[in-house]
Amino acid sequence: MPELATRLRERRTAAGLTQAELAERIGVSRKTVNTVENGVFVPSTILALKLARALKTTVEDLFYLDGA
Amino acid sequence: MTDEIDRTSRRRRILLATYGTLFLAFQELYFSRLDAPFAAWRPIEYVWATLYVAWSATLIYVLATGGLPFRRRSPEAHRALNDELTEANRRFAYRAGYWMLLGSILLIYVLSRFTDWTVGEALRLLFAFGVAMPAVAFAGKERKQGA
Repeated sequence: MPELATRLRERRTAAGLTQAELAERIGVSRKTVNTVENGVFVPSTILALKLARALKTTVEDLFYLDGA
Repeated sequence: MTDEIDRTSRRRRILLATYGTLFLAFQELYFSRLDAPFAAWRPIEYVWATLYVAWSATLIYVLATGGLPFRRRSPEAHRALNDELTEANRRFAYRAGYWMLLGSILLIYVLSRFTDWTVGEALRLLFAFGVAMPAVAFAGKERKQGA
């Protein structure tokens, strides 16, 4: 079964943001950003959209199915 | 603000782990004090019973809402402390509590074959597991995620 993979860390560092700064922008804890980046936590559609908007990219760019 | 959220989140985790574990550990104390029929209770038994109810309610309340550590926080901090990862951890905790409660029922049933347990004792132990285990499970999950 394909798993959710993410480019969140790459996109965040490219945008020059720390986990804390990104977390503050979208109103979640730093731990939430950290767990999404590490693939521990699968975000909801709403959170994925917020992350994409904060990083000025698309959800499809941030997340993809690994092994699909 | 992030530091404040990290600190508060850590405080909540430690509070739930400590109070949840102590709640289970103190059951023996309550067992010996509250087993008499209500008619034979002295004022001190009512004090113990009130403490027991207050302790249970605090654990349930803190797990469900974050409780006292949220006081005086800004709405942004409140939202971040209660974000969807926290909600997911709460769901995990309630699920874990459900399975542990089922396990406890089975365990008490097996033990009741060998020892004399009153209905009151069994119910009180089940209640204690139902209250404490989700709190401890939540704290464990948060710790694993680095809270």
